[in-house]
Amino acid sequence: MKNANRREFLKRALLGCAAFLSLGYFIKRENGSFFRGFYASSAAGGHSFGGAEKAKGNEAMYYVALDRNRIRCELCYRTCNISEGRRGFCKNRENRRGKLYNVVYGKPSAVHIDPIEKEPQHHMLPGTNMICIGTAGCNFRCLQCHNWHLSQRSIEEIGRYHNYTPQDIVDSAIKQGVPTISSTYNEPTVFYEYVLDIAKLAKKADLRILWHSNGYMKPEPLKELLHYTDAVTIDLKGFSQRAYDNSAAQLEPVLVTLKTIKESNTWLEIVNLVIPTINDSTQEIREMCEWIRDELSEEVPLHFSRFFPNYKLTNLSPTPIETLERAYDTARDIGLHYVTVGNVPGHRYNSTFCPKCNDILIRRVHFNVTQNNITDGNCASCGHNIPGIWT
Amino acid sequence: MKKKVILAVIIMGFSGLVAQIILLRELMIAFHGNELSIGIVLANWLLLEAAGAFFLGRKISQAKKKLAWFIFVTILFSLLFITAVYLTRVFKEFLPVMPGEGLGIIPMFYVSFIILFPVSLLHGALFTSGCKLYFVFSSPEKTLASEDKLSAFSIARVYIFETLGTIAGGIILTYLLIPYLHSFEIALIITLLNIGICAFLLEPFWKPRTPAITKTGSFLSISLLLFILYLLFSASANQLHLFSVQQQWKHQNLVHYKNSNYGNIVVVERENEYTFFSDGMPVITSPNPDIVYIEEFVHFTMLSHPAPENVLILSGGAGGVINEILKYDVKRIDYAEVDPLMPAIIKEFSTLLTERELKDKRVNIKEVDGRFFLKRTPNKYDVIFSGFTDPSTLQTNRFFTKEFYTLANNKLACNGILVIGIPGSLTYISPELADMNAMVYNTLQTIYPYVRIIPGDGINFYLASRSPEVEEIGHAEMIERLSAHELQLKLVTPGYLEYRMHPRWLEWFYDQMKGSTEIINSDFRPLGVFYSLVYWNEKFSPTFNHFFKRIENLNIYFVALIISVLSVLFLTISSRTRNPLKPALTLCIFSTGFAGMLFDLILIFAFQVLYGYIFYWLGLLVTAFMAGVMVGGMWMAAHIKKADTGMPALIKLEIVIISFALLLPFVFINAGNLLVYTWFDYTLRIVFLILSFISGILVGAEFPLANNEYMKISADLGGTAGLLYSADLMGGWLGGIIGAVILLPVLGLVETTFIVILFKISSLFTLIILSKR
Repeated sequence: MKNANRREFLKRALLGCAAFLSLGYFIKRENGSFFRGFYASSAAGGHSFGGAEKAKGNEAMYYVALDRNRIRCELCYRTCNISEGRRGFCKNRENRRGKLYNVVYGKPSAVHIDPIEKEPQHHMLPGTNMICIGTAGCNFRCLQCHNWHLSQRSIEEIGRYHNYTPQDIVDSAIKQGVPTISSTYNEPTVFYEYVLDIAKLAKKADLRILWHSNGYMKPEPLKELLHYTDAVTIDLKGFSQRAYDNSAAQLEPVLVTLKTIKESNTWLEIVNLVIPTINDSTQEIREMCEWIRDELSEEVPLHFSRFFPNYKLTNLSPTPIETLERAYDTARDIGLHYVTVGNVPGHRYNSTFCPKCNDILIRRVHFNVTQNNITDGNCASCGHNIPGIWT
Repeated sequence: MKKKVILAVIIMGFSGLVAQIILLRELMIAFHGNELSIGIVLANWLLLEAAGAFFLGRKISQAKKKLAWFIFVTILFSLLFITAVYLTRVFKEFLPVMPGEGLGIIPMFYVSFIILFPVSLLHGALFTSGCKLYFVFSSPEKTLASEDKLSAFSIARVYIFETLGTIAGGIILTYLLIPYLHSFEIALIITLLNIGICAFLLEPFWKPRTPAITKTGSFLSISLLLFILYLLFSASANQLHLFSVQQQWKHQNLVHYKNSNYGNIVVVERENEYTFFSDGMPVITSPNPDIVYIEEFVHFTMLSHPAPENVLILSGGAGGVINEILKYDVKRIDYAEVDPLMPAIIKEFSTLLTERELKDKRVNIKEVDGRFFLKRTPNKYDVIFSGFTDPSTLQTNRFFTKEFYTLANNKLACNGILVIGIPGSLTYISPELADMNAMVYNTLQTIYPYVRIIPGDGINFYLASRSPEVEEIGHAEMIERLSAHELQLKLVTPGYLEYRMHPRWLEWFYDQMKGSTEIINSDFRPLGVFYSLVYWNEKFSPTFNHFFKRIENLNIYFVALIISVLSVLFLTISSRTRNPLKPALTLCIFSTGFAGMLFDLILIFAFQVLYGYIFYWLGLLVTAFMAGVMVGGMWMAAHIKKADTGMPALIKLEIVIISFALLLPFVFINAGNLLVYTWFDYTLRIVFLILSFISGILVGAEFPLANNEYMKISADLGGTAGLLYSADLMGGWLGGIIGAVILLPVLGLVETTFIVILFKISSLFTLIILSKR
C-alpha cells in the first residue's frame, strides 16, 4: 500500500514537472514578455519593509486614491495598484494609510560631477560638466543595467545615501561653478518629486536642467517637468517588443513620451544601446530611424552605444564595431543628421559632423572634447545652423 | 557468471564517473563556474545517487528478475545520459530567461536537479542492485560460514570494484576522451560499453531452450549495439552535437567549440568580430577589444613606471593587453596562461591584433600556471599584470592572497609595480563591493608599503610597489611620459588622464569604503572566494543576501556548539530505537563520507595553493585517493573473511581517522616557506600522494567493516547496502556543499579540519555509547 502511494506521488510529481516545463516552453515561444513580466513583477518591491530604519519621505504626486486605502500610482505607464503598507514596482513609492509617499525624496545615493558628454548629450554646452544625481529604485529591470547597484535595489537595501534638499543640490552646483544639474544613474521618473523641486529652484538660479530617462513617464507629469527642463536624453532600448522584454517593459509608451517631448520643444537626444542578437538587426534599426525621422525630426541626435556584458547579461559577446558602423550608415542614409557612436574610444563617429558640409563640428575622444567648431550656433565652415544649446 | 557481474560493476563505476564529470562540465558552461555552482551540481549528483541507492536500488534488489532489472536500468541509464547531455545544452529554452542571461542560485539548483535526476538516480540504484546480484551469483561458492557474512562481503566487493571502475574512468576520461572527443561521442561510448556488458551478461540465456523474452532481450541489445556503432561511425553523433550547440548559442555564429581539461572554449564570429568564450563567459574580443579596460589597465600602470622593460602578464594577455604593452620600449613580455588550448585557438582565429601580439619576438608564452611560473622564474620584472578580476574559485583566489603578493614582491625589480583590477564603480559602491575591495586593499597593504588605488567605472585598479613613486605620481608626469613615449592612444589622452587622476575620485572612494571589512585574504583562509560569492549573489539571487551576511560571522565555537547539540539529540533519539547500533553505524559512515570529501578537498586545495593548477598532478591526487579507497576496501574485505573483527576494529579505525585529521594541517602550514629547497619541493609532492592514498584507505576500509557490523543485526542485504552507500554519499554531499563554499573560505583550512575532527569524535562517542547497549 505504501509503495503504491509513493509511486502515485512520484508519478504525479513528474507529470507536474513535465507540464510546467512544457507550459513554460510554449508560453515563452508565444509571448516571451508575458512570462518575463510576471517574473519581473514578482521581483518588484511588492513587500513592505519592517524593521528598524524605515525611510520617511515626502508625499508623492500623481496618484489616485481607490477604495480600502488602496492607491493607483499615475506617474508612469506601469500604473501600479499599491495596497496599504506596500510599494510600487519601482520600490520608491509607498502607500501609507491611503497616501502615497516618495521614500527617496532628498536622499540621493550617488552625487557626482561628470562631463556632459557622458549623459550622452552632444548638443548641449559641450566640454562642460554637470552635477549628476541618482537614487535607489527603477521602474525597469534591464538585464544589462550599468547602475544595477542603485536601480535594482530599494533604499533600505542600499543603506547609504546623502541627505540633500533640493536647495543643497542647487547651492552645490552654484558653488562649484557647474552650469547643469542632471538626474541620471537610475531613472528620474522614480524620484520625480525630487527632480521637479530641484528643477524649479535651479531655474530661479539660472541653471540648466537635464535628465536621462527610459521614457516611461506618463504625459501629465512629463509635461509638468518639461516646463523646467532644458534637455532630455531618452534611452530607446530598441524598436521591437523583444528588445523591451529585456527590460520587462513595452515599446509603445516610450514612443508616446518621445513625441510629447518633441512637441514641447525641449531639446531631445536619443541613445540606443546596440546589443548583439537582441536589437541589432538592420530591419529594426531601420524602422527605428525612419520613425525618428518621420515622427520626431531628422535633427534629433541619435547615439548608438557599444554593449559590454554587464549585470545579468553576461554570456553575450560585446557589440562588433561593424554593427555600430552599419547602424550609423543606416541612420545617415535614412536622413538623420546627427548620429554618433559611443563607448568606442578613438572612433571617428564619436565626433559630430556638419550635415551640410561634412566638416567636423565637435571632436570628441570618449567624453573629452578636444575641438569645437561651432560659432553662434552655426557651423564655422559653412554657416549651417546646428540645433542645440550652445550657451 | 560472477566474473561477469564484477565486470559489469567495474563498468558501472566507470560510467558513473564519466557521466558525473561530463554533465558537470556541460553545466558549468551554462552556469557561472564559481565555487558555488560547482558545489550545487556535485551536491545534486550525490544526493540523487544516494536517493537512487536507497529507495530505488532497494526495490530493485527485492524484485524477482534481478538480472533483467539490472540490465534494464543499465541501458536506461546510458540512454538517459545522452538525453541529459542534450538537455544541458538546450534547457534555457524552457526557462523564462533571455539568451545571454546568467542564472542565480535557485535556477541553478532546480535545473541541475532535473537534468541529473534520471541519470544519477538510476546509477545509484545500480550500486545496490549490483550488490544483490553479486550475492546471488556467489551462493554456489559456499566458502563462507554464514549468509550475512557473505552479504557483507558482497557489498565490500562491489564497492571495491566500483571504485576500480571510477579510477579507470578518471584516467581514461582525462587522457583519452576529453582531449579528443566531444560529450555526445563520449556518452555514446558509455552507452556502447554498457550495452556490450549487458549482452555479455545475458550470454547464458542465448541458448534456444530459454523463454522468448530474454532471448528477444539479448537480440535487442545486440542489435542496439550495432545501431549505436553505426551512429558512432556515421556523422549523426556530430550532427546532434552541432545542433545542440547551436541551440545553446542561439542566433550566434559559432565557429569553434573545443574542450580541454581546463574547460570549454567557444569562438563566436559576428560581423568580423571574434569573441572567445571560456566556459560560457566572454573573455577576449578581437580585433576590437574593450578599449576602456585595456588601455586603463596597461597605461595607467606603464605610465606610473619610469622605464618599464621586463613585463610579466598572469592570464588575460592576449586580445589587447600585450598589444598595448608593445607600444612601449619593452625588452621582454612573459605571458603565463595555464590552458594551452587558449593560445592555440587564438592563433587559429587570429586577427591583425592577436597576430601582432603573438608573433612579436619579445613575447614569450608560458603554458603553465601563473604562480608556478612566478615561483620558479629567475627574472625580475618591472611590471607584473595580474589579469584575474575575481577570486571566484579556490583556484583563482590564489592570485589575491598575501602569499601571492609576497611572491610577486620578490620578483619585482626595485621600482617594480604589481597591478590588479577588481570590480568597482565611480557611481556607487555597495557594501558587498566595498568588502571585496577592502579585502584586496588590506591584503596588499600587509606586503607593499605603497599602494595606489585608481577607482574606475567598472574596474578599480590597485598599483602596488616598494617605491613611493607609484603613489606620488600625478597626471602631469604621466602626461609627460605619454609624450616622451610618443604614444598615440585612443582613450588615454592628456585630458583623460587629468580627469581620471583627479583626487576627488579617491576621496569619494575612501568615503564609500568606510565601515567595510578589515579581513586579509590568505592562501589557507580563502575569504576572497566568499566575498566574491556574496557579490555575485547580490546580482543574481539577492534574496539570499541575509543568509550570506550571517555566514560571514561564522566562527568555530558556534559550529562546535551545533555539532554537540545535534549529537546529543541524535544519541537520545537513536537510543530509543529497537536497534540503536543501526543509526550509530549509519552516522559513522556518514561522518566518514563527510571527512573523506573534506580530506580530498583540502588536499587538492592545499596542493593548488602550494604548487599551482597543475592539472595532471591534481588528477594523480584524486586517483591516489580512489586507489586508497580500493586498497582499503580490499584489505578490510579480506580481513573480514579471515576473522571476525567486530566493533573494536571499527572503533580503532575511527580513532585513526581522527588522528589523521589532526596531523593534516601541520603538513601544510609551514610547508610554504620550506618549498624554496628543491629536495623539499619533490618530497612534498610525494607526501601529498601518500596522504591522499592514506585518506582513501581510511574511507575505503570503513565501508566494508561497517557493512559487516550492520549485516550482523539486519537480514536485508539490499537495504543495508543502499542505506550505508547513500549515507556515504550524503556525507560527501554535506562536505562538498558546505566545504568549498562556506567552511574553507570563511573558517580556513585549520578550522575546517577541526570541524571534521569534532564531527568524527561525536560519531565515535555515539558508536561507543550505543554499542554498549
